[in-house]
Amino acid sequence: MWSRKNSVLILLAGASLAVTPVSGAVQRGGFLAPEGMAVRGAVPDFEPLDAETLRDPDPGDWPMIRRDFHATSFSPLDEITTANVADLELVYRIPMNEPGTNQPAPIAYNGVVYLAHTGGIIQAIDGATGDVIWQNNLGRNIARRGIAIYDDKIYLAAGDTVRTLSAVTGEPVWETVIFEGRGNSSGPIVADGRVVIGMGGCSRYGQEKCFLSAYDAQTGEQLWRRPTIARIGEPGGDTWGNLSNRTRMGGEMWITPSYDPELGLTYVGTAQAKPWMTLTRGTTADGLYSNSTLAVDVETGELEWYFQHAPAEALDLDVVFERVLVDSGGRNLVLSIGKDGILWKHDRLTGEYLGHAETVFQNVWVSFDPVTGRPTYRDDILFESEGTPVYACPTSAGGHNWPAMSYHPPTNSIISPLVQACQVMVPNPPDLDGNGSAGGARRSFYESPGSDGNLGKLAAYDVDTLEELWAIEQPASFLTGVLSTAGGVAFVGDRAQMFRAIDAATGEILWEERLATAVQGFPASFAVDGRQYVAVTTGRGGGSPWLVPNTVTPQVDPPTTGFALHVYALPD
Amino acid sequence: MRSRQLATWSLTALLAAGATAFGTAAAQDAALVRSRLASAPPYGVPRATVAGSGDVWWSLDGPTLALTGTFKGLASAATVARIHMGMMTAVMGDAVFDLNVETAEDGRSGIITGSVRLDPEQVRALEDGRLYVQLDSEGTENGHLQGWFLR
Repeated sequence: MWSRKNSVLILLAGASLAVTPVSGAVQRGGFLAPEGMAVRGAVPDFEPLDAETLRDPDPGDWPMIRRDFHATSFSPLDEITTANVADLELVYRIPMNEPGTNQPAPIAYNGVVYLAHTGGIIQAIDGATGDVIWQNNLGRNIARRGIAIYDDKIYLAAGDTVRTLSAVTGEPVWETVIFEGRGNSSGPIVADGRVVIGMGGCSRYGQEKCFLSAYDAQTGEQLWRRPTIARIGEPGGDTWGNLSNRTRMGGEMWITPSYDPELGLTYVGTAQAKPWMTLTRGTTADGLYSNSTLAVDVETGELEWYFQHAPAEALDLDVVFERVLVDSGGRNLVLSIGKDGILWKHDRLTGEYLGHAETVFQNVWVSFDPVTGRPTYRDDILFESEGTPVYACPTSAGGHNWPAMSYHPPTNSIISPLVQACQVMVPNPPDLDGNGSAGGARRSFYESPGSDGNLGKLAAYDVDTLEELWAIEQPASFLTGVLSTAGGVAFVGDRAQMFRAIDAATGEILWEERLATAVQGFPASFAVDGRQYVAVTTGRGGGSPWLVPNTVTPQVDPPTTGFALHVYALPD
Repeated sequence: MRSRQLATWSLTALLAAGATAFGTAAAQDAALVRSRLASAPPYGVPRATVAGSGDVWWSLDGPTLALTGTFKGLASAATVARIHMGMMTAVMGDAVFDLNVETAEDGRSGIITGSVRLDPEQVRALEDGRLYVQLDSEGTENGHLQGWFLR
């Protein structure tokens, strides 16, 4: 129910969030805003964004999470350079709703920034001034990572739905339930008129499996479903040992897919099979199509190819994160990295394995097949025994986690946030007649040997050789994706509240500013009237990327408040 | 070996004592390597139980592994220090050697010293990064701090 307490909380969050309740209340977790349009307005001179333009966005736009279909997180803007980035100054700051898990990926189109808050709030903001144009309180939490714009609509996931708002006014357009009761923590992409989105929450035993799905961008009609768990009798159905269909779970897609418009393929990573550990799961079999890259035809939903990065995954080290599409060395590549810290390179047309690199210390894989790339686990990981601890590096925080890597074309390098730590896990006994669970293990975390207490690592890798070009290590973990630019600058934020500009070629720190709390989310760059801006958010919350530092580097302890959008530019 | 309490020593004095104790080994081989002592896996105990940190300086001269180190900030008094051997780096294993521990009055800071002769398998284990120092305490009897011998 809407309450006076809600009103006070929202007012405290800042003038831009001062709202008048419009309709009845939906309150979950104690911090949802009242439902309805809180600020009414219209984006002036709005021009619909067509599919062709979305394939090659205007340099001044950032129309989706990671900016483009290839998930490069690279801005072609070059006003801000390595030579002048030290002059950056704050243009405006927008307080954001608190508390909650704040990992936003603001987007920008034609000078307007669209920003999703915790508590189900979404705003359109004048990108040059920070003035709020409209604000809609959806009454249910918005998937925390990623919104998209296409045509004249904003696309997002909220609860168990995919839904759209008018990009001009914020008014709702259509809403479709993906699957009742299952949500997602990341939003969709809109690939040539099809809204493609993953699914989370598939850990409880049952007959319904996780699926990737697509929707007509204009009507919301569901076009296809692509399940990620193979049932008995289906292709891959013999990779689950003796497990019944009911107990084959997992394979969530909790990161926004990528898309190659030329090939008509979308690329998505899947999470591990559930429960986590093989003993608890009741099988040491591979479990297709968990922990895989799936290349799916966006028109039909057919699976074009797959590669399983972690067969029989057993330590909550899923390889679910961004698939970055790069053209280099005469090949069309897809680059992937998971919690185990393995950076993979595949041909994105065929799925052919082309190489891998170990980005942080890992001791879970003892070998990789040089031809196929298939990794082999340590025996004590694959064949767990009840009550016996399994020590392994890295942890469920990574290697790599949701803070996305960036492809920087001028240096042909991938710049990736990484985490260095280890974990001990003890499996629970199997309970195949029970309800199932996402976890099913007890665990704790410790410092990675040789890391010298540096939990956080940011490193660049040559795309052709996968050689590490430079690295920064520090106690604080990096909690933003990387934004790289044509000006040769990479931007990244961390748990120690620092937002930094780094020379993308050398790793040299060029500029930094300490913000009010952890710097968390997906930085973006956009332009208004020829002036380049850099936007970044502060926030807290999340699973292992917070649990692991809480144990391993408790001295890095950011304040519990201070959620905001910060927008920087060079002096006018 | 149980710890010996040095009631009146300051941490500075402990460091000096450590350096003296290490003199012989250091003279034999200038290639000293530092290993950081950090919290052992806090499994089954609160994180605060394994608070503290330290450093160990070590060298290998033939089959002789000599080390000295300091620690501070423990959540409870140090008891024993040993060299352990795991199946690989970061995987815990059994103790293979005892070390000497001397502590300040509260037991929460002190020095670790030792010189042990490794057999060929243990030398290989050292080269593979499978040996580590483990310091236990009254509050955490199976691993309070640990530091891996990595070059």
